[in-house]
Amino acid sequence: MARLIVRYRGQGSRPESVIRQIRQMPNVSIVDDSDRMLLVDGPEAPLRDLLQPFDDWLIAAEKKYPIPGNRKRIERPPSS
Amino acid sequence: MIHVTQSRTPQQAILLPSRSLRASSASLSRDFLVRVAYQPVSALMKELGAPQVKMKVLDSIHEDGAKLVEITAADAQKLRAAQPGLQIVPVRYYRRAVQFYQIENRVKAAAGRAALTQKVIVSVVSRQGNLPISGANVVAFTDFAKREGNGGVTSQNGTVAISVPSSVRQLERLYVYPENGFWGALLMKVKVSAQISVTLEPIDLSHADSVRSFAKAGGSSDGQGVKVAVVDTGIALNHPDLSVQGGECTVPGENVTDFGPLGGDHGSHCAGIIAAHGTPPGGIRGIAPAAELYSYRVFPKPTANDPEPGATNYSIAKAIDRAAAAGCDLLNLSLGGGDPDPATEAAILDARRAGSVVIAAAGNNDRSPVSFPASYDLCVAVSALGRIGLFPKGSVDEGDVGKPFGKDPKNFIALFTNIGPELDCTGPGVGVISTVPERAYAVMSGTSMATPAVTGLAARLLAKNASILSASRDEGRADNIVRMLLQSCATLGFKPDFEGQGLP
Repeated sequence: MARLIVRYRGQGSRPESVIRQIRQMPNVSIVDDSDRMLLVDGPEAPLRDLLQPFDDWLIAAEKKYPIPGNRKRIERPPSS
Repeated sequence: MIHVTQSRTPQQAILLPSRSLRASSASLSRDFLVRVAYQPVSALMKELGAPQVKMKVLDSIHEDGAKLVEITAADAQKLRAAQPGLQIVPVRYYRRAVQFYQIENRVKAAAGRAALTQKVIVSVVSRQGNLPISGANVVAFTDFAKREGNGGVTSQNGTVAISVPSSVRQLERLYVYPENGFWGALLMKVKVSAQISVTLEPIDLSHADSVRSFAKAGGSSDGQGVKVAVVDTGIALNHPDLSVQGGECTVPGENVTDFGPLGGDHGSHCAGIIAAHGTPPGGIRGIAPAAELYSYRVFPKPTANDPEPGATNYSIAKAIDRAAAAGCDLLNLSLGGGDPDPATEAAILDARRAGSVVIAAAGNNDRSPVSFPASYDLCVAVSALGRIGLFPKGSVDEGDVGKPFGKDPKNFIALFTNIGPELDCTGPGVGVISTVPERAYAVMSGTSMATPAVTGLAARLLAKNASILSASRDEGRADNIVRMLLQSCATLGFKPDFEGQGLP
């Protein structure tokens, strides 16, 4: 299961009451806690249900970006 | 997406404030959105001292809200430069969800591999003294268009054995990428023989590469008072040409104080372009040597299982948050790819609200559309510029030369650069000499190098503009930084889809 980012998009500090509710959810573990975000392991649907009544929160899947480079790479072996 | 070939035909787009559908606070952007509904855009652009654009307002959600407009891609770029706080988003059309049935074509795998192979020994030596060069990455293409071939890394004696089918008589291209200290080499149509010898040119630190030629090495006070965050693989902390004032590692599970180059060389190279403070021939000088560098490492340490780990959107968004909170004026993001990500967009928007500007690389996918996050309207998107004659004959950089050429026909937009109407400007990004860990120098090319060149130029400009530098840290400040940068641009004779507003 991909990890999820939960981010507060509003002005000012994030509402800690919402954070507390996320922490208490079953099957959800907090991997990292940043100023405006949490990185969580857990199912997406219950998180969306929890955050749906609140303004200014988003949920995004964690994704990866490679180290940039411009070097040419082999993609397949030589054909005869 | 407004397609490159349609950049002269007006298309429908939505003019949006930086957040939401209605501008939430007094700002130049809000004022523009309100007035454009009832005043000619020509009058508004004249007030801003900006180039004229043609735009028709077709509809409006609210007085200070989103507008449906008709505008060409070229005029959209000009408008974005004059009003950096506005988003200009192409209209998208959605179809009903229908189910398509497809017959899968099963393609049989090519029958067997070539039964016979031949081994080619590639020997890599320095032009100085013919000394063997170890650790060089040798890439031999038998078919470049299909990216077919084989390769390896030279050993202590400077050689690597590469196997190709016995029937192959010629290597279409042979690239040699050294670790550091030398220019890379590109040989075309190499006759296959038992041994192929490649000679590499040592780097001369007093050489005027594309950064020094287009942007000039900075004076000792250039960039003074400006804080620059390099969101990347970490910066070398002991390089004699670099001074890192602080930073953080935002990779979950890694030590926050490990913001050195544990993720690779890339971040140190970018940092040196911005603010190296050495003196040739013993060192190099960046564009804004007095700028304060902050390292935000978002790429994890490599492991045996994952030798090239990627940076997550979480680490990047967290780095942007932390850099903005630390008061960094400019955030260099020489990274990206793939589809837009809402978490990174939200972090970039929050950074703007804190008066910080993100400058991002367009990407190196051979004229593909501009990558995210550069493609996000609230980022400054940078393409890579090169000039014939600034790299040695036979270097890998010769492979990046191609149309279009500029007013000066020696100038070119690198073949690897992504392009499109999202571009804001261009910067030198071909054959760039800069710092790498621990105390070395290397040549790299990419929009990754063009981006810190523009960041360095932005730092140089900002340091000389006390009123913007000392302004309260809000969205207006960020808009003014972007406007200052883009108004300093001069066209080099390329279309906007290749150079944006030009070179700062």
